[in-house]
This record gives sequence, C-alpha cells and structure tokens, in this order.
Amino acid sequence: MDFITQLLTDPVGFYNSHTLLVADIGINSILAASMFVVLYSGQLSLATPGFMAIGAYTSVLMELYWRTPLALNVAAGTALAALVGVLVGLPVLRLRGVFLAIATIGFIEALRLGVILNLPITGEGLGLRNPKADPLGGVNMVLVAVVVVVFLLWRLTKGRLGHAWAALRQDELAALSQGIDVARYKLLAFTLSAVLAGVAGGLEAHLNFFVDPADAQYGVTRAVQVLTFAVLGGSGNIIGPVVGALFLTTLPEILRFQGFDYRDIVSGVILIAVIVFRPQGIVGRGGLAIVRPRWWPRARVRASSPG
Amino acid sequence: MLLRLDSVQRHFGGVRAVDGVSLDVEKGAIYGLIGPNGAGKTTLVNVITGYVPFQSGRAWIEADQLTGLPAHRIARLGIARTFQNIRLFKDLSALDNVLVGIHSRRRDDTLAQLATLPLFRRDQRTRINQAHKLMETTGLDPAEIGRRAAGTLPYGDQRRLEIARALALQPRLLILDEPAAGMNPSEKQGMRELIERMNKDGLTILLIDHDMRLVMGVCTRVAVLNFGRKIADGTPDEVSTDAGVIKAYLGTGGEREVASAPGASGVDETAEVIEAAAGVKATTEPATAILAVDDLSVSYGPVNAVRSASLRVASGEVVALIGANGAGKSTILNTLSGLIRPDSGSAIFDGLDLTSADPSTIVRHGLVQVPEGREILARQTVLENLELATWAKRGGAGTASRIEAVMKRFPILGERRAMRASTLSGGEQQMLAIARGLLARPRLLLLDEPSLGLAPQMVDEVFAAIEEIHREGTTILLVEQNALRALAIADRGYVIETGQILLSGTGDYLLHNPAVRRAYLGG
Repeated sequence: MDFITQLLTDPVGFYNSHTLLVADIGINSILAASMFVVLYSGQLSLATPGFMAIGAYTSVLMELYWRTPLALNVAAGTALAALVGVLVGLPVLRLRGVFLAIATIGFIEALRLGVILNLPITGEGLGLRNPKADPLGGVNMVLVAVVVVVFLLWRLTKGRLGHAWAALRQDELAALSQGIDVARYKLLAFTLSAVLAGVAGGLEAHLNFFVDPADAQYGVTRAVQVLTFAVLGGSGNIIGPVVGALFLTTLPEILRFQGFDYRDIVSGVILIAVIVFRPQGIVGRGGLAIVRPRWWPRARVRASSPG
Repeated sequence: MLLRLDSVQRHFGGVRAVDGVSLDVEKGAIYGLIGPNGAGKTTLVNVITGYVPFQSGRAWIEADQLTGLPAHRIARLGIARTFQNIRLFKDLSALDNVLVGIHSRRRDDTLAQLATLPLFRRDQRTRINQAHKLMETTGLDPAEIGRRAAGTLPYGDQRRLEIARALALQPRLLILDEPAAGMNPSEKQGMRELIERMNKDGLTILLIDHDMRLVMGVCTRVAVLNFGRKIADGTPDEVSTDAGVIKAYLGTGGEREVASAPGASGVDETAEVIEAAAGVKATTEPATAILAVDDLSVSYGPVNAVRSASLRVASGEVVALIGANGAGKSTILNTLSGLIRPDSGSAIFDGLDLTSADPSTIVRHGLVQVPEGREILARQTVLENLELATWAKRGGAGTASRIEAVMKRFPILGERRAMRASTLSGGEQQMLAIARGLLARPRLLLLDEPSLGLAPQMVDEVFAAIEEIHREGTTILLVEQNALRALAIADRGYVIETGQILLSGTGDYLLHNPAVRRAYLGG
C-alpha cells in the first residue's frame, strides 16, 4: 500500500523513486498502440516484438559503431522496421485470424532465434552492452513519444483512414463493395504497427545498458503480454490499450507487499475477472457497466410490496 | 447501354454456375434477374462486381471494361451492390456505415485531420449532411437511428441502411441482391416504393429477388437464369408466360407435358379458381391425422418466416408442401423436427408435442427429416454414413441386417459401400441421405427438396425411390420447389407463399390450379 499512499501524498517523490516504472509504462503504452493499430483494422498480428527488436538492435548498433545521435538512431531503426513490415506484410496479410497470428509468431521467432542469436554483430545471443544508455534521461523522450503517438492515433481513427480500417475489420467483403482497397489498408496498418514497435524498441534500448535477446523481451512471451494490454484495456479506441498497459505494468508494483509471494497469481485472477466481466475491455462501450456472464446466477430480486 | 455482359462464364469445378450469359441493361431500367434456387444469379452478380474472377467473357459499364478488375475498383467505377445476407458494419453506427460509403469519393485528408484543421471539420460536416440525406432518401430517420449500432437496427431498417450505404458511392448501377427477402407484405411494399423512387431519380437498378410479385411488378425487363444459362429475357409478361420459364420454376411432371402446366396454356384463370375453390379444400383434410399442425408461426428474430400455418398428414399419405424459394417450407420442417422453436401454434405428432420435445425424442418417436442439401458426411464412406445413422440404436438387434436391407433397396449404395460419400453423384448422395433417414425407422419421413440441384434423369430416380418407400408403408411429407413433380406423386398438397398457406387440396386439383403458378411466378 505504500505505493499508492506515496503516489497520492507525494507525487514528485513518487516520480523520482519510480522513474523506471514510469518509463516502462511509457514503452508498454507505445507497444500497446502498435498492437492497437493491427487489431483496429482486424488483423490478429503478433509481430510487434519482432519490429521492436529491429528498432532496438539497429539503434544500439548505430550508437556503438557510428556514434550517431540518438534521434537518428531511433529514426533509422524505425525506418528499417517499417521496411521489414512491408516485406513481411505483403505475403502474410493474405492470412486471417489465428493463421495470421501463427505466421507472425513464425516471423518473430525466426528473427530472434535465426538472426539475432546467430549474427556476430548482435552478440550471438549473449546480448549487447550499451554503455551510452541513459535510463533517467530517456524517460522524458518516452513520455513525449507516448503523447504524440496517442494523439496521432486518436486523430487517425476519426478520419478517412480510421473509417476504412473499422470497415474492413467488420466485414472485408462489404468494405470492398464501398470501394475500399482492403489489401492496401491492411498493409498500411501493419506497417504503421511496425513503425510504432520500432520506435518503442529504439527508445527502450536507450533505457537499458544491456540489450537482452530473451523471449520475455522480443519473443512470444512479449507478444502475448502486449496483446493482453490491448484486450484488457479494450481495442475500440486508442485509450483502451494504453490503459491496459498502465494497469498491467503497475499491478505487480501495487501488489508488492512485504513477504507476499503470490502477486503473479493475483494478477492472473484480476486478468480473468476483467475478461469475464468486461469482455469489451476496461475502456469500452457501456461506461463502467459490468457484464453478467450467462452462467452467473441472476441477482435475486426480493418482491417488494407496491406503494 | 449501361451494363453489357458478353458470354460471361464461371465454373466451380464441374459446376457451371454461370455458363455464357450475355445481358444488356439499358440506362434508367429496373432490370430483374430471376431463376430457381442455384440458377447462378448471385454468382453472376459476384462476377460483375469483381468478387469472383471472370473465367471467360467480358463486361462493360458504359465504356469502362470490368473484366479483370478487383472489387474495389469496380465499386469506384460506379457499381454499388447490396448483399443477399445483409453485410453491414454491425458495430459501427448507422451514420458511420454511410460515411464509409462516402470514403471512395473523399480525397485523402489524413494530414488535415491530424491537425484538426477547420477545413477538416467543415468537410466532415458536409459529409455528415450528405449521409443524413442518403438515409432520408431510403426512408430512415437519421436523428433516431444515426447513432445506433447498425447491427441493432430492425431488419427492414438494416436492408434500407445497406441501400443508403450503396448510394453513398453515387453509383451508375445499383445491384440489389434479394432486398425484400424475409420481409412481410407491408415492408415489401415499402421496398418496392423505394426501388421505384430511386429509379425515378435516375438510378439504373439490377434487381434479384425470389418474390415474383415484386420483380414482375417493378421491373421493366426481366432475364431468367437456369443452371447458369439465360433461358429467357423480355418484359415481365413475356417471361411469366414463357413455357421454358414455367418449366424451370415448377419442374416437369414426369410424363406430363409442359403444355398442361397450370396457366401455361393461357386458360381463363379466374373462372377456374372460382370453380375450383368450391369446397374441394374442406373435404380433402383427413379426419384423423398422424401429424396435426395448427396456427404455427415461426420467426428468425424480426423476420416472420411462417405465419399461422395449419396442415394435416394422415397415416399412409404422401403430402407435398410446395412454394417458391424462401416461402417458409424448410422452416416448417425444421420446426417439426424440433430444431427451431415456434413463436406460437401447435404441432402434434402421434401424441408428441413437437414444439417442446427434444430433437432426439422426436426422432425416436418416428419423425425423421432428410435435410435440404443432404448433409451427409462427405469424408466418410457410404457404409460409415449408414452405420452412424444407427448409432442411437447401436447394440440393438439386427443393425447390420437393416443396413443390408437398405442397401438392397438402393443397390447403387451397396455397390459403393466402401467409397467416400463425396465421390457420389448428387443423386446418389440424395439416395444415401434418404437411406440414412430410413434407418431411423420413420413412421413419418420429412423430405426437404430431394431434387435440389439434380439433373432431370436423377430427379426421376429419386422420385421413383420416394414412391417405392411410400408403397412400403412410410408416410411422407415432401417439400419441393419442383412443384409439378411433387404434386404428381402426392395424395394432397399445400401451397405456401411468403410464410402463409395459400391453398390446399388433392395433388390433381393443385396440379391444374393456376394459383400454383402465381405462387411461383407472381402475376
């Protein structure tokens, strides 16, 4: 409880002592936004961690070998992620639903196990040391990026592009009948998702002194975690996934009591409860209403006498 | 000429879904496209709109060639369509559905909207106004339903909204695929008025519908498809008295000549109806019935499929239930089998209340349905299909010998016992489906469209088998589009149109009643 007490009574002190947590929330929010873009256009793609790895490694390698400025490094990582996004997207976007999910898992695993763990330049699985990392200074850039990303996506989903995405998410055949080039808009969404993941990867690499090619970082585990942000928060608008990222990144900290070893279990239970009672996500239609599952017994209403 | 098709062809495997169709739709026309179930109408629309690629043949809208273009490009050329099963963006608001339609006419304003420029706001207001106008054109009230999710609208409004969305393309040609399906008479009248109003505003319309009153009433020209070929094309009057069209719709009565088909010879229909209506109906209802259906009403959500239908089947009879596609025939059978629950009314089979009994109880009680489209297990062998039919009574004495007996009845099944069911011809699959039904030892066998999609000589064989089964003592309720064929073997028949039983009588009486033709072809 110290955590919340401090947040309420001493926000500045809280920020100073939890800067890394705030940075984590920011990175996860951008990743959630990357997931949001593909889900909003109806593509169940789990490729986000792969593009994130491309952004991270490109940025750190440029720093190590060329000593170029951070902004250029991140931009180059993002551009490469976008390029790979187009190349991967062209063939795999013909797939739908769970088949697309599996194909994108194939992509991230091939990238991590096949490329990153094998190339001498990426450290062959030992990871990369990044002495120029700046955990405390990097947080400001992350927060700026979050604000910009959220604003852009908020506007995009309200306009022509967003309408086209929403339409093809709901019914591709009907979208075609309205003159919407479905293949093109899917590829656009996939590439934008890659761009956002590339930015997140570049920024995150700048927060850590070590780039770790672990599963929890750039593998399936990360993909599932990011998907959970979007599902838990709700993917009807951009705020949902960001709230999901905020919630799930903070929850373990809130549950960090002295001598309490079961916080993962509590996180799991909360997650299940949200899925069962708020299937549309935390931020979704219906205000704060809680959905009663079919199997849940109805509340018994006591017959009251009229009057 | 607005739309021109030149020998358009599309086969699926061995099925000639569209087989060399040429059409000319004139500017300003309401052009009807009709044909029995499976005639290839929707496939033709899918080819025109780019959903299914051309195999051969060509098509133009005015000077623009459509051949080989993807669907979204064809939409931008000004061909808008609606879908047979409504395809709205269900979770988007009604207004957003129409705004999506305006999409293709809108220049890319992504950058402007990012900055929330006043320009963007003004454009957005114009678009919303346009969308409101389109909704009003189709008879929707934007203030009332604009913000509601499209999927939650009443059925008729969803149909209208789909048309409003199509109009947002500002099309040169609007293709309506069964816009009045599942509507009640007053909704249909509203749809008819909407079609006429849009046409008066200069829109050319290609209309597909099974409701002949609507098509014949509203269209200036009509083309008829059957087995993928165009068999007739002309004014509604020409088409509805064309012998080939009547044959395609009502089927042939086996040895009977087409000329004796009701209405084909142009007899004085009204006199005949009045004469025929004198009491025949009352006397033909059996006093004791094994199946008694009274005032049965069934709906799918807002769609009334069956309205207050009553019918009787006595033990030992063959009763035919005939009517055009979508009239509610299969719905009645599915209700009797316990697969659908009725809104009201009763259905009693030999003391068992079919409106509340379990489907499996109903089968055990002796009421067995052979479903439309056969529904056999395609990847299992013939023998395995039959063995599965005896699953409920497995271990019971004589299962194997009963399967042998059924195979003797249908020798072709015996010969092919080890072959996969998918390798059988359509007629053989139908035999298998009927054989499977017989293994459940029915006292009343419900047959749903046994002749669907079969070549003429296969239809002969299937009907011969049905007569054989009947002679051996099984009572049969037969649903058919092939009306003349069904009535030829039926003791009695019921004619159903848009969910209501219109007429009943002996097979012979209905066979010569012009009202039967009208139930299929309107007029």
